Amino acid sequence: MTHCIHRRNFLAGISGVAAAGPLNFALADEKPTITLVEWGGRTRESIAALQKYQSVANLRWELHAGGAAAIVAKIRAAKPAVNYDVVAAWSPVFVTMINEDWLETVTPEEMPNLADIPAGLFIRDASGAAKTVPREINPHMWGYRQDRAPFEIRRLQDLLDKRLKGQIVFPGPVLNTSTQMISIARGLGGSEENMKPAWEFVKELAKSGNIGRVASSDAEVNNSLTSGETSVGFGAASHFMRIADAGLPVTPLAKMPADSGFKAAIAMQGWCILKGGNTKVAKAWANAMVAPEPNSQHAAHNGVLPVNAKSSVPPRIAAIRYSNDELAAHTYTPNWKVVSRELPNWTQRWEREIAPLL
Amino acid sequence: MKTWRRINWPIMPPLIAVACLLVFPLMIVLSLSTRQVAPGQVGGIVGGYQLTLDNYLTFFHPAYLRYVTDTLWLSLIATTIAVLAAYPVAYWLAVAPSSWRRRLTIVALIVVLYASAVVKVYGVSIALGPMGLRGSIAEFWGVGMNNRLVTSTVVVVGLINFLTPIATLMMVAPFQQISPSLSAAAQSLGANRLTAHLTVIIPLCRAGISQVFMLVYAASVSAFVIPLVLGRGQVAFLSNLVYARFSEVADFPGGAALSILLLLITLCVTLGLGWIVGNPAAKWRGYRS
Repeated sequence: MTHCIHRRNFLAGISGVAAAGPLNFALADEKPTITLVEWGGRTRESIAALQKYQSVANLRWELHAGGAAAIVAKIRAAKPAVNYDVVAAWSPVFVTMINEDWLETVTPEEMPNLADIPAGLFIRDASGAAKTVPREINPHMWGYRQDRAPFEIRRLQDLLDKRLKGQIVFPGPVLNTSTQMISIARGLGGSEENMKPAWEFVKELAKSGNIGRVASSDAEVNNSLTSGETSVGFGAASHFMRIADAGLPVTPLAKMPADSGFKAAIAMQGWCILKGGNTKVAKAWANAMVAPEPNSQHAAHNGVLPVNAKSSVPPRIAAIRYSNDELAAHTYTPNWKVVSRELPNWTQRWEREIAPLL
Repeated sequence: MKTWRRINWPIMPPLIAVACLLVFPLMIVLSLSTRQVAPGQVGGIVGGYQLTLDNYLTFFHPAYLRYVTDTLWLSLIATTIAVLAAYPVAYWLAVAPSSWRRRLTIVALIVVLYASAVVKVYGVSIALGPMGLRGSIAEFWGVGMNNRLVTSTVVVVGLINFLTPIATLMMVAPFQQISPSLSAAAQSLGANRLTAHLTVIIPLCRAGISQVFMLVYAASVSAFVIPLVLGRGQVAFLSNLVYARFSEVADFPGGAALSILLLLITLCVTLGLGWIVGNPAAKWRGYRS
């Protein structure tokens, strides 16, 4: 038996495919599509893998380019059009969007899984309405590579030690929304409203020549520490977890004595639902994503703390898990409204006072 | 009536389109640059329109002079080296008879041109990083690896890597416009090849080379990824400061003011350089007469 492709067979095949095409689209279109702005890399992988836990929506992905704040400028530029339904971001960016009144209110009545998330993690507007869907806690802290750092780092003042020449990767003024500067200020008795101690310290640090690289992205911090270019850095705990995953001995300075000067910033990452989009479906989708099981999996995959009280915490991130007492002793939650207001000034101050010393 | 006839109507639609695409956004940026800043608001704009020049005055702090000099000076060094490196290759491509070597070189230049700037920058970053030749550069300058001079050198190398293929391909056209018989004629009258080249070829294609120089310099001044990645926070161009304001701290008026300043500075420098490299001999003769 031989199989020949004749002109008529070919045309019949083409027409069959053409007829089945709309059917396929119709099947695919059963679920509405929402547009999600998300981080790339491991986070995207994680969220994509979690889609088996929901059947409410198809996703159209858009990845953040640059810092999370960049999406704010894009949303503003597109107004009054709303091009996104769900945006992944973190605390300071949410504050900015709430100020603009862009975000839908979220409630446990519409999204039952929110009832299992501690109330303190939600960011609220002036009237107290919750505007965000928390998904993870990712503290920002100092950390170092034991195999590369010339000595054990115990105090903030150790960063000025001459033996660390060129060994510190310091985030640029806008990276992490300057939590590194606030962390130093807090460690030296200041705060986001009194940054003088931080500026004085970082000036000394810049003069010392210990800052080997000023990072403009999280990836740069990771690469610098992983490659051994530098041995001390400030970043999200999840990044230190990733470095550890690569088999490198890294110590996150998460629970240091109160007088060490090392303080971790507690930042919440999650989603917000934009007004004017496909809000009902977006809320159903976000609700499904913060259910205990997907939230646990997301935390395990990314090396972050889950937010759902019913989620399990992977053992490998126990080092960055804080009890209530530890939260008070070793961490702080920045006043994001002050940070959001002051960030342009801090950026200018960095350009004028710190950059020339590097 | 005569004036209407003189207008070249076919070029009007694209001319109008370009004017709209250039002038209209520029007007928006100009307007934005004079708005008052409200920190914490997206775009940093106060409601209502209150004219202010504060966004410009911010950049008259002496610290910003360093960003201006980094942008202009490092670009000038990189452009000069890129154009000098491109010159012999472009000349050879223009005058050499067709051969597989010539074709291969053109293909290689185009492939390099098409390669993502980010890939090229990270290539330079690795090659001249701490695990690469950064130590040798530091040794050459007699300074430590984290010295600003080393970082500036790396940025210049990154710019040269980016600019040289552009300069080479652009420079082929001016050489191709010169008849090879002119050089042959000079040699037949007793000039050696070098003298013929210096006294015949270079004067004839000087205008074209100047234009290439200016275009490549403009590309260098507006470079963004190269100083961002290779500058390690020690070396930043004005474009990096503009980006930070628009995208990172949502200070649109500050970003707009800096954009206008960058435009003015670049315009002045480009005009000045154009005047210098345009036709120095003629100007010199003009002064003497």
